[in-house]
Amino acid sequence: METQNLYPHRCSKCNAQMFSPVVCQSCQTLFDIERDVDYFTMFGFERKFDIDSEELEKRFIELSRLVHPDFHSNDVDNVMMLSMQITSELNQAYETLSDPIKRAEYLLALSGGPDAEKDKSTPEELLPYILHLRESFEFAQAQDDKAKTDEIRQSIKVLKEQTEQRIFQLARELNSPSNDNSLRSELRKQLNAIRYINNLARFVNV
Amino acid sequence: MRYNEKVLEHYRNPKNVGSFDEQAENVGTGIVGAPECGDVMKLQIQVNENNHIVDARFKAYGCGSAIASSSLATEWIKGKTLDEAKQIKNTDIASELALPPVKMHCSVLAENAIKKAIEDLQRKKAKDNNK
Repeated sequence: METQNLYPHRCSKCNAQMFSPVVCQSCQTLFDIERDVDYFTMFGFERKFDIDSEELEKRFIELSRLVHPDFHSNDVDNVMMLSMQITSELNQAYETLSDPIKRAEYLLALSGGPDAEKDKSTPEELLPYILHLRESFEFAQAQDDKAKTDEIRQSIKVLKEQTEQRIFQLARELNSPSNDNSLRSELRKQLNAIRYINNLARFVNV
Repeated sequence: MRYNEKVLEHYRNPKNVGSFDEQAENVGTGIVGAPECGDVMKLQIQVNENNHIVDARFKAYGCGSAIASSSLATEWIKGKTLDEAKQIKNTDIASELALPPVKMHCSVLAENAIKKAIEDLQRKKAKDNNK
């Protein structure tokens, strides 16, 4: 995948090209970023669902090194504080962007979509189906019916994969400027669904 | 965080766990979930000809508070009319169980499950009357 630097700014201290607004890789000056810098921008990425995960990891390691409190321990107190603050933000950002479900959730929030507390909707018939799978699994387990438990595990795996694919597809569309409310609510619905499915998957060890 | 003793009691000895036949005409089923934590709860009511709730069952897949909330809810609605059961508020459940703020949604789940079960029953009856 083509990776490009989308943070075309120069360091205000040494004028070197920067790839992230948090630190200059040339003179190691730390910058107190404004709150509205999103996680994508922190890593010099475009705000869209598909990202190069290898490049993300590379940049995370590089930035973590540059910002690390150990490298700023001789600096004045407020720079030391800033170093810790940015380190924590970087960790948070990496954790969010490196997980595709969390990334989709984050993109939805950035696009002004509802969170799970505001919009609890789920795809029709999902909850009864989840209950049914769980009850059948427990029943099969009590009967020591290995063929049946395997079959249910397989159904859960398929449901999980299908829902994830749907989320990824919707999150990619979110990128386009014409995205409408129905797309956002559909994504919310699928993101709600995956939480129930993941709970179930954990329960049956899928 | 420690669970309140009342929550633990319902968790260890939940009341009315199980299911009724969903197809039965005098049974209403409510299935609700909390996407924040992925908990799912099913609550069922069984009524007599006077629309009094004679029995209730639940199944809850979730934390101790979700189980305790639904267990308590089934206890409370037994013997009530549908209208009385509708009046049960999540805050009543939460204060009885002394749920902390982070577990409030469990009591909301129980309240919603009661309402959904009643709606389901009333839908069935309305259909019946139109036959």
